[in-house]
Amino acid sequence: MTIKLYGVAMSTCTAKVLACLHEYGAEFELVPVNLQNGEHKQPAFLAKNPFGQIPALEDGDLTLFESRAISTYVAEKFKGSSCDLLRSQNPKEAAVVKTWMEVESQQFSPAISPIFYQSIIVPILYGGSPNQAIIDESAAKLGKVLDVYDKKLSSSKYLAGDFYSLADLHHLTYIYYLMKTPYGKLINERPRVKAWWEDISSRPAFKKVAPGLTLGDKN
Amino acid sequence: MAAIKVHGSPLSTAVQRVVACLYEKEVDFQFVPINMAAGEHKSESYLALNPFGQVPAFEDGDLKLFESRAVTYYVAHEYADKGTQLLITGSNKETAVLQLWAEVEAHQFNSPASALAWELFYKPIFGKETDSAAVEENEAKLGKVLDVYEIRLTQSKYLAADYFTLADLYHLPNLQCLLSTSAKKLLEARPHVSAWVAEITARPAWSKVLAMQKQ
Repeated sequence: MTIKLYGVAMSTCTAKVLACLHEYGAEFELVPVNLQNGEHKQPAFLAKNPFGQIPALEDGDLTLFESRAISTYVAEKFKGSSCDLLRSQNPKEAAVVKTWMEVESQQFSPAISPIFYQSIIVPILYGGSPNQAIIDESAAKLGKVLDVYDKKLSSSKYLAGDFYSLADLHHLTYIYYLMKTPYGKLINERPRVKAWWEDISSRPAFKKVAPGLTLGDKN
Repeated sequence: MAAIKVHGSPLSTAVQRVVACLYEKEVDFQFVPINMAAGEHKSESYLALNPFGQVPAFEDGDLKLFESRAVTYYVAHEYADKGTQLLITGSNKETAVLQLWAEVEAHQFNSPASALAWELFYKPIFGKETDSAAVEENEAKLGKVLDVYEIRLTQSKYLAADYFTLADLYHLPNLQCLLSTSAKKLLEARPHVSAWVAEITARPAWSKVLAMQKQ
């Protein structure tokens, strides 16, 4: 029985999971959810994710939601292959990976998501004007977070150590979209962050995901 | 001297999360107070422990960690055979349910709950004025989250399992704040949520965390 991932390829959270699935070469089916028709708020989808958000995952009798819980499940499920994104065999390394996963979740994401929302979602999905005050405030916060990253990346190649992990992977989709806005400069102005971004975004697994990240592209 | 050190302030919800876990696991630790009013959490020596200049910072021997949910996850695994079992053991599918509800706390519950704790609990302590629009907005958000919890807690005694786990523990600090504010009505209005809150806040390990604030 194949893994089913319910979501859309252009969504940052769905694509985060897609990148993880591709790293492990996992077989899965992407089941589209029609957001425009409000499918994610209908009873059939709410039965999978009562918070009415994509993605959701089904693997046999298991249903999961929250992209980071899903990616962690995928990494645990395919543990023992040559891909090791959680470093579960080494408790100290695993703890540092978990720390930087929490950093992405609690420091990075809250700073970058308003920039993404105002710059891309508001104009494209709602035909509105970006709120520059919100963008500026978030850009200042994100800059401070990335200053910490720049310093950390002077002592290790990736965030949790000299190995690529889920901590790095979880950043891919938001940064990809950020680079489509003028705020990509926040990445480009910090040499070690820029080098890290160029490295992680050139991974084959991400190259399979990036073409689906089409929000904001002119048709 | 205990190998484990927690640096922080007893008033911080993130610090309380870590200390609650250590008490549940019955693991010795040394609490190192950080004088936040004096800006000690932004000093060079503290930034070496937590580069984001936030509390807590955690040490276990030469391992240095931060972010309360990462620290508690490490403690629960490293000391799995001591104290309360805070993890779900078993198949990947079973353990995934813990990850799920831990993420729900982090991404659905924490934002409105901590915003309300800030407006209704902390601001009065610091002599600042409560923003009633922020209160109204976050009460509405938290209400919707708690509606999902109410249904979940009819299916499961605790959030992730039929026993207390990290997923429940993560909620304690913000719930405790809310209980002493007008926002407690959101908890009281939902019988399963109310019973769950009463149960988890009555745990002896949590009482020890509250006792720290009185020192």
